[in-house]
Amino acid sequence: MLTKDYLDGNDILSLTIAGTKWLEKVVPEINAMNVYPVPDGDCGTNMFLTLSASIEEASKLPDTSQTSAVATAIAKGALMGARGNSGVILSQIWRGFAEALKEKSAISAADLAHALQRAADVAYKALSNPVEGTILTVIKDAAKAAISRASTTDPSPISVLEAAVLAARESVVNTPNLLEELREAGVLDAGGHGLYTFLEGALLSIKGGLDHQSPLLLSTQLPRIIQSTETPTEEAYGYCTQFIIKDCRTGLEKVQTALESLGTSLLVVGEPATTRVHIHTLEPQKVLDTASKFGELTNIDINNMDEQHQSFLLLHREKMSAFDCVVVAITTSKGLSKIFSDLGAAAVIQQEQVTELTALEILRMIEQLPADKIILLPNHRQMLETALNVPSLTKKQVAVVPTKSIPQGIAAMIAFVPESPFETNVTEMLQALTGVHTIEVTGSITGDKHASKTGQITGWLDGEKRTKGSSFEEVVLDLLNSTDICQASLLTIYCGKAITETEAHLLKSQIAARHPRLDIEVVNSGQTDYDYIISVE
Amino acid sequence: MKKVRVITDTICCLPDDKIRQHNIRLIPISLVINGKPYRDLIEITPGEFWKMFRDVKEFTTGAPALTEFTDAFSELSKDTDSIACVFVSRALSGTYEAACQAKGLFLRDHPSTNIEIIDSRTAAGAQGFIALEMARAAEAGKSLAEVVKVAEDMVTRVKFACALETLKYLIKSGRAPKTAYLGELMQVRPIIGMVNNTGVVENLGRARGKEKSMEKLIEIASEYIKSGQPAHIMVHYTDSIEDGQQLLQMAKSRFNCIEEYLTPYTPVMSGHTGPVFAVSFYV
Repeated sequence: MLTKDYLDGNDILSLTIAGTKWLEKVVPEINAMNVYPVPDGDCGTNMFLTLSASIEEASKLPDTSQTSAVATAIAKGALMGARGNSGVILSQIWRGFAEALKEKSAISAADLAHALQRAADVAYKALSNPVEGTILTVIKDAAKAAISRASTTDPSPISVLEAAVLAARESVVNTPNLLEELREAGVLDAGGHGLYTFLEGALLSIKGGLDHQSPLLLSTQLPRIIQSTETPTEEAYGYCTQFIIKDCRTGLEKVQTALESLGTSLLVVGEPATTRVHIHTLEPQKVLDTASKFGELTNIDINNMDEQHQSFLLLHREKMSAFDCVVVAITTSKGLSKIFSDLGAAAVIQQEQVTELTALEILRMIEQLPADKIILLPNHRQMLETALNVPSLTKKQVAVVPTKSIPQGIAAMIAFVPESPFETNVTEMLQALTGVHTIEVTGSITGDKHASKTGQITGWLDGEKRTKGSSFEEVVLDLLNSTDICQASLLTIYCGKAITETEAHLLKSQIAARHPRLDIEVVNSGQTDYDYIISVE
Repeated sequence: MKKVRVITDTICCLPDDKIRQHNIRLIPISLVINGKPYRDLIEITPGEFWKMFRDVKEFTTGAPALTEFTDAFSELSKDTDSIACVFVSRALSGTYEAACQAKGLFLRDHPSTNIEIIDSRTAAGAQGFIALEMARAAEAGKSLAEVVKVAEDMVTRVKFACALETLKYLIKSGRAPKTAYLGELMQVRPIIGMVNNTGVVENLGRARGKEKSMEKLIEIASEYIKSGQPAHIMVHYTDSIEDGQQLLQMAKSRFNCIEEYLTPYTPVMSGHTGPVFAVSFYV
């Protein structure tokens, strides 16, 4: 098949079987990634079962050499056997794929690319509100790469599939950048990953590699458990309700409209003979009563998602807690929280006025984390004492790395290696504090944000109030001279909320003029306690 | 007795003159860049690769074709009956498997040739150092079994650490460590490497900025090289030889280098990692 110019129905079926078997190997891992739209941890299972239904249907054909017949059977099997959100979307991918191959007995590279494109188009259309960063984006990106590969000289179906697999991989890795829920949970999109793994298996069955390799598991940053002090939603997830309306007496849109108000994640797909419905609802009976007006209901499947969610949490913990310890950081702004979170803090407690944060609140966060060893970074000198009280309040092992400023906190965070043992991390993080100086300046002691532009500027070096002046530049440059700046290579300016971009860059250029060897970076971190926090290291 | 000959692949990043001097035979890894196939180092040099790097939309690698190995076996069997091969970590590439298949094919027609294939469980200059020591042993007249012993000993000693500008290329290539950080913020450079001889890429931490990353690499090396202990060092660079020179300077002032090299990452390595600087070493 490696050098074939055309694929036939037998090829399509054997590629599908190979992809499905490949996916089966990582079903638990895919399940553990499943946080969107509902963290119920069944995405991998659902995709696998949907694909299995496809294969079963296609294998019933007396002759599997006809491409069109095989693709149609796969699509029909997927629709009948679709499970869960990802399964239903997958059935639509197959539907588009089959539509594009209608009447085809064999498919060329260009046919394959166009079939993938049609698959993406149909899947997008099936959703009333398509969300990027999901399986949809992955099929779209894969199709785009396939089309582009097919338009090069001398494309083969395999080269098109290879281009699609590479693009899918890249697309999966990019999903957290598109979907906040994924970024917060520190995972990639499960459905998208499932699709990628399926395609990878299909490709490897031709290229070789199924025997001595295992499916590549893509990962994002360190898995993150909780993001902010906000209490997690107590809202019930309800029931994942799925069924088929046989010989539906009305169009898909009407069914959609009738059910819309009864739940979320609604999908109505298929054709009048077989209309598949998927919805997350608190009132499954009401959904069934409403839908039964349109035709006979079959293949009814109702799952309690709250129960699923509980088992998901266990699964998630089991799959994600491969590390000895996690970091909890305290910050004073959203911008700073994002930095700590991107650097791998499992949880960030954000409180604009740190003095209002109590040990109990920190404790509550620590108790929630599915880890028994925790490194706490107070990141503020006024927070230090409160933080030091925390270890005695919990049975968990908590080490406070006494970071008195954001620069110290970030230096400690960068020294954190998730694979390393707790004690090693604590030692390394403590060690990291010695190499960094902190300058903090503010003009707004009175609380008046704009006082800084006219009034007195106060500066602190490593927590000690050192100097006053009439401009930020004056105070900062003065303080820099008190550090061992000749030894430093890196200076970072964290800009407060009241500072404009122009002001920040003016300060940067003034420092650069005096210290040309320094690598200077400006970060818009938006804190309100200091107009500038500067690290020198 | 005829001397053993040594084969490795283009992952090894050895200096050209050492390859020539010790008669090491290189197998080119297959590259596909923007749809066009290349034989690593033969049809594309590091310089040429970096000239086109910013326009690289598609980069994939594959195990060399079986004929690459069988051709090399035929060529070498003209002046020896013993061949020792060391290839990039089998956990990262199909090269080892392909070589084993090629060996089977070749031996059918040449049953009197002896071929040994070793999994380096590493990459870059760490693999290069294994090949180099094997070649030295071969030149000293050691038997195939002895050369293999040298290789096996070296496999447990060589290490390398690498500071990446970004993880994105390694992720694309599917060889990133499991807890890779994607965050490309504040010049945080991921430090990866292979120091535990497990054959897979390990996460070794992070550092901010170029200078601190270099210091971190030296610090990692110093965990394995005791003060004053004679050390073998190979520094690698990609798009900036100046970075390589700076890192080598730091290594020389910190360690007692009895052997030191500065080499560019080969195109296959560069394509997987993007811009980096790295250090391979052993004691």
